[in-house]
Amino acid sequence: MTHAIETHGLVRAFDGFKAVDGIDLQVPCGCFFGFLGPNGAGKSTTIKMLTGLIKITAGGAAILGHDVEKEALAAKRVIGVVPEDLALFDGLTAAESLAFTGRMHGLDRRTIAGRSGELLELMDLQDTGRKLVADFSHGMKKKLSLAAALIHGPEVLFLDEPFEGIDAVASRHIRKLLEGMTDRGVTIFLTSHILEIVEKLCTHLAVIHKGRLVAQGTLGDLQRGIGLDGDGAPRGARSLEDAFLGLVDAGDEPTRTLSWLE
Amino acid sequence: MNRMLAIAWLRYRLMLNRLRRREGVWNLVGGVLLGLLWGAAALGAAVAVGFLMKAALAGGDQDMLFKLQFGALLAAMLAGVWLPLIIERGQAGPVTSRLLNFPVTGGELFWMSQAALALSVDHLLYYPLMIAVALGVFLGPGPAWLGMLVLVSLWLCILVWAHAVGLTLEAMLRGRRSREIVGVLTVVIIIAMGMGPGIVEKALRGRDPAEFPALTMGVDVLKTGGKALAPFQAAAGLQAVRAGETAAALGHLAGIWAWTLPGALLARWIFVAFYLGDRGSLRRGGRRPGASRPIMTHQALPWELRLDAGMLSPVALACAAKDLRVHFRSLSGRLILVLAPLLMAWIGWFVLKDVAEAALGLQVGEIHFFGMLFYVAIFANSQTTNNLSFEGSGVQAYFLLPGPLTQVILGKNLALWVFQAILLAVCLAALAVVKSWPDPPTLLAGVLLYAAIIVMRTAGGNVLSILFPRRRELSSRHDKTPLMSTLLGLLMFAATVALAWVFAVLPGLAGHPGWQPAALGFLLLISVIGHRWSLGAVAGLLEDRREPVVAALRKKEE
Ligand SMILES: Nc1ncnc2c1ncn2[C@@H]1O[C@H](COP(=O)(O)OP(=O)(O)O)[C@@H](O)[C@H]1O
Ligand SMILES: [Mg+2]
Repeated sequence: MTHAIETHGLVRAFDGFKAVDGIDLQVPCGCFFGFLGPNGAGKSTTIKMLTGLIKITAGGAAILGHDVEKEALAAKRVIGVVPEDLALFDGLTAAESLAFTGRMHGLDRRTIAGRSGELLELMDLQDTGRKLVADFSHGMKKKLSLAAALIHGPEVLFLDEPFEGIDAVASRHIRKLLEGMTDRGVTIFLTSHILEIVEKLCTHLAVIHKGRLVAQGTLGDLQRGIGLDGDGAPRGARSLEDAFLGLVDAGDEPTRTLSWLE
Repeated sequence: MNRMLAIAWLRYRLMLNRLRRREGVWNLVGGVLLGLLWGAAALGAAVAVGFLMKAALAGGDQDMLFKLQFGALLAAMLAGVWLPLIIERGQAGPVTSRLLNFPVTGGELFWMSQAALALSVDHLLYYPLMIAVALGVFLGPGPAWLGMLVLVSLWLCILVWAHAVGLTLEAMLRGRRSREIVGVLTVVIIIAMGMGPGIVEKALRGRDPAEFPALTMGVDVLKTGGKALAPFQAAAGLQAVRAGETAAALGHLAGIWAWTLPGALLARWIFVAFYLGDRGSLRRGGRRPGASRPIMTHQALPWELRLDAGMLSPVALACAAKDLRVHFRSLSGRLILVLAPLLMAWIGWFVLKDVAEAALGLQVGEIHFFGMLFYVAIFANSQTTNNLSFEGSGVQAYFLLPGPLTQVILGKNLALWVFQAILLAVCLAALAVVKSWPDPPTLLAGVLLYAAIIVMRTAGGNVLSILFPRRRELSSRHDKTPLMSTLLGLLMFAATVALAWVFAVLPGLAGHPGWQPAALGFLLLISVIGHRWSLGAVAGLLEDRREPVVAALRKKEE
């Protein structure tokens, strides 16, 4: 079986600093994959390499068997992306943004009209009318970006911190939607630093720390402390939080305090 | 005091960081050059005024002294109050608003912001001039303390009004729509002020100004009003000081403060009403993306075209339709559509009548018409040399979506061409209103020439856009085009104009003037082929430089 996403020795260096340092991921088809790590661990950098936004320094990656560099267009046809910066055009309205994305994917007008109506409804953006994206709030932009990522029916969906800045109601709708998608075989790759969300949604996990993969496996594996690469990883941890803190070297340290706040 | 210095420091730090962070070395070079230029201009003006004043003092030429000092002080006022607005640096508000997070009262913040202005770059610009005038006070007769009191009062007046005007504009320009309206208005006013005297002169030529009582009255009103201005009061005060008329000097001093106090009240009121009161949304955390802002709507424009030809790829069409919308929605696009026909009409009406001789191998009618077209074509510079500017973070979509980049660039250029075609049509309509069209062969030749120039410039501009991208906001009036690409873009423009001119005169020189449209059509054909041929390489360049492009376009203006 080919994996939905596969990387081998993926490296990205910025002026010599390795933001992502040789990671090997295997994401099975149809799973809800959580890519976990503290701030600055290299999550967004990894997504950007997988989706073709930035160049790969060394190693390689494939999506549904398409090499992301050599068969870039084929890979881009099957993916949907909500990148860190959302990739929206300030000068368009919500409906126009969706129409543009649909047309870039080669959908016909009728399909685009139908789907964008449904998507706008789902994201509660149907009333934005002729308001331009430049005047949207951050949460609205995020929902629009997600809608744009879904309009062509992607087989693999990349979401960089999708729930940050989204209200509770929309967040629940979106969670339901995403779960429904994985049931139908879509693979979802989601980065987050919020453990609750990952624990609630994801079936598979990987943890990245300082650009290196420190764990990979199913949610259950990780909670039980199996599937850990490094030595000294905590075995038999009780919750995902314990496992995570252990993996990113924060578990055993005494909680730090500030001298003037004691 | 400490906090005031912190605000002043913050303003400099933001400016320097901006300079340092921006796309590499060229902007630093450009920034340093510009800084040196400003510095040299400020010091040079001060030294020149200083020497002239010294000579006038030595010669006892009171009239000359008055004129020099009035000129210098007026220049200081303009530099302090209006220059920051014209170069879009009215930054009294934005920096201050973020400081509301700190434990300072609104009143303290107001005074800190006001005081910090004294150290900002815009104000450093005219200090040398003020110092020159101050030296003149010490060298001249009369009590120096009184002269200094006049000068310091004027300085405070300038600072207060700079603050008040900056804050007012800031409050008015909260919404994108009002920013756009003010942008259009200022540009129209500036142009009207530039063209006004010419038009009046033309209308008055050979007539007696006394025939127009409204005109003489207007001039009188302006003269009286000018005497009430603070710089005039200050210059008159200094004159009174030199003459030893203390009472008169005190009267002029009061005249200055009659400006300063209302300015301070206005600034204070705007600050309280908009920054601290519920009228402004800046109260909590400034213009964050999530902050609630007035809802801006956009009306569909009648000329928002729908491009639906079947021959181009859907990707190119999608990009073209998108870009065309953005051109029409951007303030600069709308300005071009308003200003280019106005200028065309103005040139057709007033300027070109004076050109009555064939020259450069062209007939009179051709010189008129082609000249106007060259003029209109200048407007395309920022659109061609920074054609990614309005994408913002949207540019990432091009790399995330499965459209070939050649088609993306083709679509973008297509939008530009359609926009330029509409612009040309509007300009021709304007010309038809004020004058009349040239004869059909010249008209045809002119349109072909314009098209060839635009196509050649988009081909070159594609490369410049990728090498020197910089983000612009939809409602920004200024080019925000990096120095290098502006320069290269203008060079490219000159080259294309020269080439077009060669093709326009060659048939005439060869004895077949009737072939001119054919020659220009041939040039257009070559340009289109060259453009098409360059697309692959340009797409490769964009693919290769996607990271710097994305990085440059995601940065908002501070
Ligand atoms: N364009 C860039 N230039 C230099 N350093 C970068 C760039 N993008 C990311 N980095 C660095 O790479 C590291 C990982 O960043 P990122 O992948 O965004 O982290 P996160 O896991 O929070 O998404 C950080 O240290 C960041 O500073
Ligand atoms: Mg991130």
